[in-house]
Amino acid sequence: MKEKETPLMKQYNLFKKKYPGALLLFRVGDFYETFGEDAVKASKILGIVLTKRNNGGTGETELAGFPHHALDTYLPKLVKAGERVAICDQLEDPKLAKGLVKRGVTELVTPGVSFNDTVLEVKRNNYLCAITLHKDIFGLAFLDISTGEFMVSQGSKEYADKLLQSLQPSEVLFPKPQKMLFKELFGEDFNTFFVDDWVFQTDFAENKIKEHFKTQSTKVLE
Amino acid sequence: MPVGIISAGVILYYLTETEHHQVSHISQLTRLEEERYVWLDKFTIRNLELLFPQQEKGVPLVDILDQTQTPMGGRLLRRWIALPLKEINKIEERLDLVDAFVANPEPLEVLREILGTIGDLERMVSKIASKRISPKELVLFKKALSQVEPIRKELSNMLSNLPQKTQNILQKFILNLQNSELVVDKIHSTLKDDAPLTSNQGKMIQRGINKELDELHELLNSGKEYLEKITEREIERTGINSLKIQFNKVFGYYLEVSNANKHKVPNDWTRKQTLTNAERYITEELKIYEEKILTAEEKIFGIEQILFQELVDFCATQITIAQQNAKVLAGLDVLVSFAKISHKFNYTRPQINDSDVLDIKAGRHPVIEQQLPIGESYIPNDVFLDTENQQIIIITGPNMAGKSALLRQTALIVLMAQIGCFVPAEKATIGIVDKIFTRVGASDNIAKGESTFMVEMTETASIMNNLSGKSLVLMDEIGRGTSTYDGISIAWSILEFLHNHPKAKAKTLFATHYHELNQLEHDLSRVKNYNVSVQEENNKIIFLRKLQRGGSEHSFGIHVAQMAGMPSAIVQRAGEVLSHLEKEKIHEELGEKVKEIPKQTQPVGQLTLFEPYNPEFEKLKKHLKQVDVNTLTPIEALIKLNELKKMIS
Repeated sequence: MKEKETPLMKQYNLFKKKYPGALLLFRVGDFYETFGEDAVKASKILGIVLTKRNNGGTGETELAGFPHHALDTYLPKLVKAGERVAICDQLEDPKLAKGLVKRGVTELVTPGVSFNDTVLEVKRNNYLCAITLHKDIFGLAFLDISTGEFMVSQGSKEYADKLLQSLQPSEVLFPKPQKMLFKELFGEDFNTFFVDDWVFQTDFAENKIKEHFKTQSTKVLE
Repeated sequence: MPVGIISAGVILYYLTETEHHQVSHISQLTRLEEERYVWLDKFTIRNLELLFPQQEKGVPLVDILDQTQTPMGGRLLRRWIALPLKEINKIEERLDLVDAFVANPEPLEVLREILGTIGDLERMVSKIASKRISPKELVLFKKALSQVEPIRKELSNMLSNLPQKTQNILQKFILNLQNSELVVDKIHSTLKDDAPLTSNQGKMIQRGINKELDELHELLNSGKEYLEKITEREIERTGINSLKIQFNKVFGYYLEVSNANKHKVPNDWTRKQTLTNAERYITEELKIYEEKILTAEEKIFGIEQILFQELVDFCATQITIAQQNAKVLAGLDVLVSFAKISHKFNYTRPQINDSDVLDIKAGRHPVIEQQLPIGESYIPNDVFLDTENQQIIIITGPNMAGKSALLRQTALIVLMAQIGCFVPAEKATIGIVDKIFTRVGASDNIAKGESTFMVEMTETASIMNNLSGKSLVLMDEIGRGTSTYDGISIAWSILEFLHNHPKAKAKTLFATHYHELNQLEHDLSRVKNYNVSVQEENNKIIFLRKLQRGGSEHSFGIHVAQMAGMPSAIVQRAGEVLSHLEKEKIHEELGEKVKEIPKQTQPVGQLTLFEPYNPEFEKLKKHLKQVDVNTLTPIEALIKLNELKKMIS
C-alpha cells in the first residue's frame, strides 16, 4: 500500500523526474538537501553525514545536506567525481510565499559545462564535445562555455582521435542508440553522456545555430 | 561541414537542456580545418609528450614553453602546440614578432609585467554574459581592460626599432586591440574599487550615480544633522526652546516637550505619551524620516543590487570588444612567452622554407636539457634529412645511448619551429613538414588486453597508410616486440616501403637494434647509416651521445644489464652465452644471409593494388560486392566501371 507523500516531496520528485541521471540539490531553507540514492552518493563523495528520516509517512528516506553557502565548496567535488548536478533553488522569498515555496532548477552543472572557478583549471580549456557519425565521417564540435570558444570540424576516425587527444574534452555527447559503439571506437577514457537520437539531425542543428547566432544561413559562419 | 554542424547543434541543444540560457559570449563558430595544421596522430601527441606526460613525474613540452602571464595565454599556447601551422607566412609572422621581442628585452619585460596584472579576461567576459560575475570580479575586469592602453603604447614605442616587415605585422596587431574606454569609465564611475564578492550586501556603488541612493546614504550618515535641522526649525516655529528629538524602540523618533511649554504645541503634532513632567509627540515628518532610516539600509542593498545588475547588463553589450582584446592579448602573451624562453634557454630562430630539407645543426632536446643535473650539459647533435640523398637515417647504437632522445628532439624542433617558436639548436633550416608520425617506445596497453606488439603494429600500419611527401617519420625499434627474425623482416620491409614509396619520400629517422639493417645502405640509395657513439673502456662503456656516420656492431645489452644491477651470475652467464653464439657465427651467418635477401628497389606502385590489406582494394572490393550484374544495363555498367576507375586514380 502506497502512503501519501508530502507536498514538498511531491515537488522534489517532479524535478527528479525532469532531470534524470542528475544528482538533485534541493534547496530547503538555508540548506541544500539530497534524498534517497542521491543522499547516499553525496555523503560518500562529500564526506557529509547521512541521516534517515521518516518522510511524512512514506517510510524511511536517506537524507544528506549542507548549508547553502557551502555550495562553492561542495559543487566542484561532485562535478569532479563525474556527477551531473541539478541545482534546485527557491524562486521566491519564503517569507512572502503562500503555501509551498516555488522552486526551479537554475542550473544543471556537468563536467563539460561549467563556469565554476573551482571546477575549472586555470591554464586548461574545459571542452564539451559532441560527436556525430555519418557513414565513415566523424563530425565534431567543441565548446568551452567558460571562454566562449566554439569550434567545429569533421574528418576521419584518425582525425577524430587526434582532436580528442589534443583537446581532451571533459564530457563527450554521443547518440544514445550508439552507446556500445562509442566504447568500441574511443575507449573508456572519456566522460560520456548519451543524447537522444533525434537531436542529431541536420535541420534541427541548422535551426539551433541560426537561432543562436541570429543569422539567416549556417554558411555565413566563419 | 555538414556532419560537424550536426554536432554543433547538439551542443547548443545540450546548453538549453542544462539551463544555460545566457550564452551570448559564444559569438563565433570557428571551423577547425584539418588541412591547415600539421597532422599529428594521437600516438604522436602522446609519444612526444607535448601536452601531457606519459609517466607520472614526466614533464611535457608545454611546461617548458609556458612562461605565459595570463590564463588565456596559457590556454592558447596549448592549442598552438596541438595545432602547428603549415603556412609559411603565418609561421613567419609569429617568428618575426618573437624576434622583435627577443631583440628588445626591455619592452619585453615591461609587457610581461603588464600582462601579469591582467588575469583571466576571457573567463570574466563569459561570466558577464552569463550574469554570474561578482562585483569584485567586475573591478578586476575593468583593471584588465584598462591595461590595453599601456600595452598599446608599449608596442607602439617598439615600432621604430623594427624592420619594415615586422613593423607592418606589429601594426596590424596593435590595430586589433580595441578601445574599451567606454566600459572602463562606466565601471570606474559606478563601482567602488574595493567592491565585495557578493552583490546583495551593498558597499559597492559609487556616490553620484543614483539620487535616491545618495539620499539614503546621506540619511544614514548625517541623521544627527538632519534631526538638528528639524529641531532648530520647530524651535523657531513654536518658540519652545527646550525642544528635543529623541528615540526609543517603542515609538521610534519623537519630540519631547516639557509641561511648561505644552500650550505652544501646534495642531499637526500627535501626542503619543504623557510623562509626569513632559509630553511626547510624533509628527508626519518624523514618521517618514524614521521609516526612511529604518529601511534605508535594506533599500541601499536593493538599489545597489539593481544598479549593479544594470552595470553588468551594460557590460554585456560591450563583450565583443573585451573578447577581441582577450584574444589579441592571449596571442601577445604566447609570443612574449616564446621570446622569454628563447632568450633564457638560448634558442635560435629557425629558417622556414618549403623545400624538402631538414637541416638541424647542434640540436638539443628542449625538455631533457632542462632536467640535467647542474654542471652537466646536453650533447647537441646535427641531423640532416632530404629527399635526394639522405631520406632515411638508420641509427644503431646501444641501449641508453640516446637514440630515442635524438628522435624526439628532431620532431620537437620541427614542431616548435612550426608553432612559431625559436628552437634549441645552433642553426635550423626547416622545410615545412605536413605530418609528423612517431612510433617511439612501447606504449603498453596490456590493461586493455592488447599485446605490446599488436599495439606497435597497429600504430605502424596507421603511419604507412597515411604517408605524404612532406612527412617526418620517427621509428624507434620497430619489431622488437616479436622474435628476432620476425622483427628484422618487418623492419626491413618497412624501410624498403618508405624508401620506394612512389609518391611520398617521407623523411625518416629509424632507430634500431638490428645491425643487420645496415645492409640496406648498400641496396637503397637514400638510406644512410649512423650510430650513437660509445667508448668501451675496461669492460665498461661510456656514452658519448654523439651521432656519427656508419653502423655499429654491438648492442652492449649485457653491459646495460650489469649497470641495472642484475645479479652478477646472470651477467657472467649471459656473456658466456653471447661469446658462444658469436663463435658459432650465428651473427655472421645472419649477416651473410641478409646480403642475399632479394633486392626490392622498385617503387611499390600499381602492383600493390591487389595485395591484401590495401585500403583502396578494400574499398573496391566492397563496391564490387554491391554490384548486381544481372540487373545492370550496359550503360549503367559503363558508368559503374568509370566510377571504379576514378576510385583508384
